[in-house]
Amino acid sequence: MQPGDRFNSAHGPHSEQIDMALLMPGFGDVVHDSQRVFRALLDALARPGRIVSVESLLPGYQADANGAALAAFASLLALADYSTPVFVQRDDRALADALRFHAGATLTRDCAQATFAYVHDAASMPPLDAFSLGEPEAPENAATLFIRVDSLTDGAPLTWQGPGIRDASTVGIAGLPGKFWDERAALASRFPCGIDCYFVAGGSLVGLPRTTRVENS
Amino acid sequence: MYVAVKGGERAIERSWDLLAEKRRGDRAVAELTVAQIREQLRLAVARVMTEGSVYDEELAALAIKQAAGDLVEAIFLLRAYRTTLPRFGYTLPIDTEAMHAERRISAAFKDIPGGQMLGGTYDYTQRLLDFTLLAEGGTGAGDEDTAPATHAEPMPRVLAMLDREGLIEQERARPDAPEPGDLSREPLTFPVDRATRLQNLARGDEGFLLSIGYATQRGYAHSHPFAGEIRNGEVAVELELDELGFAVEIGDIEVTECQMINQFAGSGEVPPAFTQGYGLAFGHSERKAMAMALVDRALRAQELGETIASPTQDAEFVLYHSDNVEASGFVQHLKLPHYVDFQSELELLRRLRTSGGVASRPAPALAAEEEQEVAHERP
Amino acid sequence: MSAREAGTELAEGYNFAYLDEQTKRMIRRALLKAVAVPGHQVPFASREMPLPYGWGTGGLQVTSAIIGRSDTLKVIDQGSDETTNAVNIRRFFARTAGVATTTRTADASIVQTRHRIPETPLTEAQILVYQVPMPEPLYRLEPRVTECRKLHALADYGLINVKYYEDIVQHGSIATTYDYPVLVNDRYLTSPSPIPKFDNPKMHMNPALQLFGAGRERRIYAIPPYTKVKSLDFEDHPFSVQRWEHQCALCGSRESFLDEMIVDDAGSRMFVCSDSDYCSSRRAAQDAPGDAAKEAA
Repeated sequence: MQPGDRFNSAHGPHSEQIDMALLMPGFGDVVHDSQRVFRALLDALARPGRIVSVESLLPGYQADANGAALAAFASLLALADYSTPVFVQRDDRALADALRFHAGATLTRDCAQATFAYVHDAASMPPLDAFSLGEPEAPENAATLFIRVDSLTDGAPLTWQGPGIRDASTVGIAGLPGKFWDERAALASRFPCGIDCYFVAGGSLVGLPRTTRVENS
Repeated sequence: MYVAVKGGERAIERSWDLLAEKRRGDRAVAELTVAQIREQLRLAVARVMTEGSVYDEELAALAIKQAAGDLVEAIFLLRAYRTTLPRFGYTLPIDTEAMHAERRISAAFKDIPGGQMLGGTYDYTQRLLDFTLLAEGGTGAGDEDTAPATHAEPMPRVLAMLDREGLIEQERARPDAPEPGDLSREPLTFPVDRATRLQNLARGDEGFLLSIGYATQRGYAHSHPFAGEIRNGEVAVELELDELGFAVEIGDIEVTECQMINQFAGSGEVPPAFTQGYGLAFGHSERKAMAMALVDRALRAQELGETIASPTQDAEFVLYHSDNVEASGFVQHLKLPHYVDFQSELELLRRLRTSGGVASRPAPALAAEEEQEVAHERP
Repeated sequence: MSAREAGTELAEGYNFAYLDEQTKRMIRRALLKAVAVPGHQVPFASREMPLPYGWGTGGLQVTSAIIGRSDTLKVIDQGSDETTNAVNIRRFFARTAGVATTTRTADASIVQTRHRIPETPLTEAQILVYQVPMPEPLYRLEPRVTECRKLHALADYGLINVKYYEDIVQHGSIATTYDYPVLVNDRYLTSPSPIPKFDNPKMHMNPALQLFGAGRERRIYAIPPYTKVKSLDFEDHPFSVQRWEHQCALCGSRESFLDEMIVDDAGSRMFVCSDSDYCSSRRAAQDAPGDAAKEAA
């Protein structure tokens, strides 16, 4: 329940009935699965570049080519709720329904309103500054993006440095458009405002907080 | 040979036993029942419900019993319990104008529609200790005539009458008005709107608000308050249920409401009108509702364009220190061990005294062994 | 220590680790953003806990939000596992989460601490949760939260530099011995919590994740592993830590923070390691060097 529910009967733009027959199952054990996914997300963001897996936590998940990446689905199940609007880049009814049902999440078509975003097709993702970057007094209001990529290891190697990384790490994320890194670099001067990302491939993910400096190797 | 202090668990358990003994007191005396507290210490129950932010007379009475009468401790117990309760939804705003009033007065007018109802109040008692209360055993049926009368005639708001002439500002519901914040769910962030301030004050410590309100009357803030209306009685609580599509009455609660009429204010565009302060509390809690109304008005200084000249008008100062659960916790946390930090201060102080030439008073006499240690400590 | 405190039963009717899932989610989101902006205080909706505000509710809520079945928890206060508050908090988690608890730093995956950093170096597999009474490093100079927020947004820390300059003029040195503020990742001025300044250097480039919870003040912050943490100082008055002329009377350590204890009516003093696990591990190693080598392996 949220205060506005009394006046707004629609839950934002995705107010169609949930298709219960096609509903994807959520966590088998909400309490402990959420905790384990969270620890993976915490570890990934605290140690950028380190690959973390949540594979085992949704054993029944059907990960076909079109389905949302398992790691992104699990992360959103663990973190989203009625107070965190979720932007889903493409029209993914299954994901939207599952998030609304299991997490009580609200969905939004407006990037700027999103607390979380799932980007299935990185090449056509909105520009980074279309999302909330936070404010100087409240940088925590920035969005968190989950970006599906082809591979967390096979891409062109870049050097990552900064908090969480001992000296430097070489990380090769495959499947990101070049403009992603340019847009991200352009945001650096706005620190503490910025954007925090997780790259997801299947059941694995890599964290990239706004504090990480990324350069060509 | 020094041995590190152990047995902390046993010490804690033993302290619980001692506490239970002290709470029970002399076993030759009958045990206090929760029902007795609920019925005969009603005003304590009212305060615990208000500041504990839970309307449940029995739970509040239980908390008072468990806390051996320490109301701030009882309030903490109730708040901690509240944290565990699931939230079903939000009720409709209570309609205090439709209250079944047991007491209703106005100092601003000699007579008002619906009349001045004195009700049961300490106001006109002589404060003389009544030693007949020392004798117990009065369980006879109450006198029929003293059963509280609830008013059948409508009791329109006194302030509504002033409003008809346009003489007093009024909060009006707007379709685009933001939802009130919820301090039990979100942290207090500044700037804070009036609705959130009122929530903070409603659950704030009565003593603190009383003092701040008192200060506003003595010149610490521009205040010319008149008690426009104070009413106490029961109101219905209604909840809208999705499945039904309309609101259902789920019970009654007793509340006390105070509307203060304050110094008029105007500007170039708006003609002057009286301003308001508002107070609301669970149960029969006039002192709290009145103090809250005074403080509410003082904290509106900024939005009314008044010079902020006094701490009573400083929202951060008042709102951050109004919660007695927080205040009690932090003040009493000084009892926790702080010896590591104290050690650091000792070391610095000794160093500053020996190197800073502070020689006006000799250091306390030390044992020979100690003298050697101090000699080593000199830089 | 065994998986359950002797005699404590799992409390019925409460969610795992006490907090409801909604609250945990809210705290978890705050923690992630705290990690993304090292040293910045993130507001969170602190709940009333069974312990009073000011007694560790922030640390409690952070631990409650992160802890899982496979964790092993150590709780210390003033460096000791045996102070009543540490005992109380450890029992709280044994009762509400049933997790394994330990007094050995090396065996813990989560260490919740009040006012000390363990002497035993932490590892990448560990999380240190600090209990913080006043998260705002500037509060003594500027009590208004709204003003401090602006100063942090602008990285305007002139106030504290002036204060330290005045200390040096008046006393010859900076007069702060605990809760000594640090600059995190060259950006945010941060309160390390009331640890003695002796412990500040341990925060710099620590392999463990450091999380800070202030329940009453309703703020959370974090220092990721391997992050630059620098204690404020001036070039001509560099930061330095306390040193003792004594060694620990029990284990002989000359490197650890020592508690001063008055042991008799004559005022005789004795100095003992504040970190009880560090001290007892050293003593165990001294008593049976072969066993200690096996333990350390």
